[in-house]
This record gives sequence, C-alpha cells and structure tokens, in this order.
Amino acid sequence: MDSRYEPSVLHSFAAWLDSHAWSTALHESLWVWPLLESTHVLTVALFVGVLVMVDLRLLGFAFKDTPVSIMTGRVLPWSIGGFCLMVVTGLLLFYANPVAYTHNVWFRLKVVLLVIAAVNAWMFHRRVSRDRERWDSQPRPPLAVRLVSATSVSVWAGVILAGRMIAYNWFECGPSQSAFILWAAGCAVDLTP
Amino acid sequence: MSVPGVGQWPSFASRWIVGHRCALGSVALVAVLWWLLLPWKSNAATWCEAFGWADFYREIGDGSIGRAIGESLWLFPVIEVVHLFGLAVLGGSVIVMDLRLLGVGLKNAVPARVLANVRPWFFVGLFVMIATGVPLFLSETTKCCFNHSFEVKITGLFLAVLYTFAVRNRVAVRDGASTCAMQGVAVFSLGLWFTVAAAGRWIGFSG
Repeated sequence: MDSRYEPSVLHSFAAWLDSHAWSTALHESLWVWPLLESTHVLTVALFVGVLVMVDLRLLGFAFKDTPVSIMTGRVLPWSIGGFCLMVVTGLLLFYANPVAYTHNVWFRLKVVLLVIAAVNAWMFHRRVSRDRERWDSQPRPPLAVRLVSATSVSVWAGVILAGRMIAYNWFECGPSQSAFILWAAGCAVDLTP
Repeated sequence: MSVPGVGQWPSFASRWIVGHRCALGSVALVAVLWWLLLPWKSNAATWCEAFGWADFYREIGDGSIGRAIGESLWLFPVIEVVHLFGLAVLGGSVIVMDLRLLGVGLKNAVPARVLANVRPWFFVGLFVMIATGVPLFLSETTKCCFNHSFEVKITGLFLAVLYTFAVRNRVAVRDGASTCAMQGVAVFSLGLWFTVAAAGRWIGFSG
C-alpha cells in the first residue's frame, strides 16, 4: 500500500471519536440530534442576525446616529452569546458523526471560512479599531472599517451556505468523484479507478 | 453598574425580579402556551383529505416552478440557503428591537429611533423569506398539506406579522409606554417569531 493512502491524523482522530458509544447514541437519537440541529440553525438569527445589524452600522446603512462603540459594546455581546451556543451545538453535532464530516468538502470549506472570519474579526478589533475615537460617531465610517464589515457579512454568508450543504452527499468519497474532490475531501483510501 | 457584594445579593435579586415582573410573567405565559401547543395534534392530515385540499395543493405544486425545483438537485438547497440569509436579517432586526424593549442592548436609545433603524431591514428580511419560502413550498406542496409543523408555522407567521404591526411597533413608537408593557410585548414578539422559526425547521424533520 502506497504510504500516501495511510489514514491522516485527522481521519484517525475522527475515527477515534466515532468509536465512542456516546457518539453513536447521539447520531442515532430520535430527539436529541434534531433538537441540537434546530438550535444550531435557529441560532443563526441571534448570532448572524445581530452581527449583521452591527455590520450595517459599520457600513453606514443603519443606526447612523448611534456611535459604533455603543453597537460593539451593547449589541455585539448578544451576537457573541449566540456564537457560543453555535460552537457548543456545532461541536456536539460534529461529535455525532465525525468521520463523515471530516471527509465532507463543505464541512472543510466551512472550517476554512471560519478561520477567515476569525482573522477578519481580529483585524477589526485589534487593527482597524485603533483609531476608533476619530470615526466612532461618523455616520459612514472609513473605507477600512467598511471593507472589514463587508468581509464579515460575506464570509458568514459563506459559512451558512457551506454549513447547509454539509447535509448533501454529492461529494461523498467514492470512485466516481474527481481527483480534486478526492483531494479536497481528504479521502483516506485510493478510490481512483 | 457595580457588582453587588455577597450580602446584597438577596435584595439585588428581588429588585431584579420586581423590575422584570412583566417580562417574567410573559415568559411564563409563553411557556404555558408552548406546553399546550406541543402535544396538540391537529387534524392537518384529515383536513387535507376531507376538504379536498390535497387536490388543490397538488395542483399548485404542479406548476413550472414547483416541478423545476423538485426535479433539480441544486435548486432546493440553494433557495434554502437564501431563506436562511433572510432568517438572519429578519431575526437580527426583530431581536435588536425586542432587546431594546426589554431594557438591554440599545437601552439608552429611544425605542422609536431603534424601530426606525431596524424597520427597513425587517422588510428586507421578510421579503427574502417569503420570496424564497413560496418556491420552497411549491416544490413540496403535498408534504406541506399533510404536515402539522407547516400548519403551525403558517398560522404563527400570520400572527407574528399581525402582532408586530398591530401591537409591538405601536408600543415601540408610543411616547411614555410603560416599562411593563414594553417588556411583555417584547417577550411575546420573541416567542411568536421563535415559534415560526422552530416550526419551520421541524417541517424538514416531520412527514
């Protein structure tokens, strides 16, 4: 067997999680899984919804008379609370079916987008907000601020798209997939005919 | 606001409860309504057959839009993603306004100003949700006809839209609306929209 086709660390970790009895129980549960999934989906309204309202302020489309610091200080924490709920339910959903998600291209795309979103949030809070006092009350903040918030809205929209598509098995590892998909999904076994 | 010392907690908690009595009471009432709603099995399936709705539903689902979505592999999920974008915008605008009415979030802003800011985005979200929701419905009309969650969702949607314009927004723009009224109104708004969203998600799990 070619060494390239040895299971990756990611695959081994996912397979180890998959071997847990609790993982199987969660996967097969009649009520817990749907309730977790529903909570994960509905929290989009709290997390992304409230974040969009803050981003609309940063873009100069809404709350023009409200200082940015009020939006980030009073409104953003609610979004962050929603994000925490997202992470908890998301991790549990992953735990229910780790091997399938590890080799799902949409899941992988979602993780990449999450990293981009994290870097973008860091850019906003650590770099762009340094001179916030100067534009805190401006109805339309400077271009750098608007670029960061436009990126935020787009990337989170991408996360919703990728997240929803995880449910479909169009790109499941198998001999009919293209070489690109086999690479992107990290299919552990050589499936090329 | 400073954190109260250990000895002050009982009085702090009791003042918080008294200050939020209308919100807490409304939460209790919403919880009771949910408790009554959950085990309620409607006659959705029976009605669908008995009143000849099944034929009507099949007919409207047999149009070009419904068939195109039903036959396509990609259309349904892609429309659903846009439906979720609508959920974010609609939900965000509802939540930011209701948080203000509950006395948190933009608590120092005049409610009418907050409403003026979120109102256009409420309409954007609602428009996107309906514009994508109708095609999603057209692709599986027969399933929806027999589906209890769909029935709850549509009923809830009518009530939520009606309630938002007839009650909540009126309280939000009224000068000198009492804290009690604002809290109660916000809890019912959040409860109604949550019911619509939750029942909507459950359509996919049931039937």
